[in-house]
Amino acid sequence: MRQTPLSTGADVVLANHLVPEQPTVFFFFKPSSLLEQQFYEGVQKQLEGKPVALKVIHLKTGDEPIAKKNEITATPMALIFDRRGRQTGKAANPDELMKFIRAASDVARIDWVMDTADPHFDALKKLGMPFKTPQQIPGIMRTMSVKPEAMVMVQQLAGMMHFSDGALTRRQKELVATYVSALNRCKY
Amino acid sequence: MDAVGTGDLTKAKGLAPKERELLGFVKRLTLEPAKVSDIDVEALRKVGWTDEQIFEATFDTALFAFFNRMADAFGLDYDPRGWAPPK
Repeated sequence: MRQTPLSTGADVVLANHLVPEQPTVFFFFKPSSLLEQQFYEGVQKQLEGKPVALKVIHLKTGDEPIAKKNEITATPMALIFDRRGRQTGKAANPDELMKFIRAASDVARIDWVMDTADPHFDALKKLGMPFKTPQQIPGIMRTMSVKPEAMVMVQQLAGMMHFSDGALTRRQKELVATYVSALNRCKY
Repeated sequence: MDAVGTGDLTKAKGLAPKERELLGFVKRLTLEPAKVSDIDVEALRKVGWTDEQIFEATFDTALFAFFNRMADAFGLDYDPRGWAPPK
């Protein structure tokens, strides 16, 4: 499927074309080059159905205003923005591009621990959390990762009150939790 | 369990009548918490739930309201059918 380009050379402010709630990739390439066209189609296929927006900019010479403005000195080239509108990468090959997309997809609306070098992650390990990377932490727990002690306490609380038999069985608790989550989602 | 995960109890088979009653309470506590009354809790006792069980159902309802709101604020896609326990 051929995508209508965002620009064919004219200057467009990329920040005005970010897609909310997900990373946006601006892909600059020369459609006249079969190789670049194939690279683009490969990327498009890989991102199909994924929560990542892909916008294309067609170039002829590479000297167009939009290329200059965004410091695109070679094609193909992709600029990756996270959901918060920050440019988080510039990639010239598929592996690099996918690496940046994975990283941008890991960004939440509110800061949470993103990498192993974060002191909060070290604190979580010291508190006995068995995770090798922040990405292994279940998302709901990870929302609390900037407050490691709280995260551990909530996890213990959930273990004590939800993931165990009490006056209610685990199955009954799971029934309650499932229903609550469904009802909360239904409010949208 | 799948029908419960859609939020529609009319399609949920295999639920005991007293479980339906409990989930009715859970629904009210989730959607209109300020309207929970003595009558609602008394109705649960009448079908056989103990106060300890009613407490645990209330706690779980509140705990998952907390989780759902954390997920909503952070923009996580959570599974509406529940949350898998950490390994």
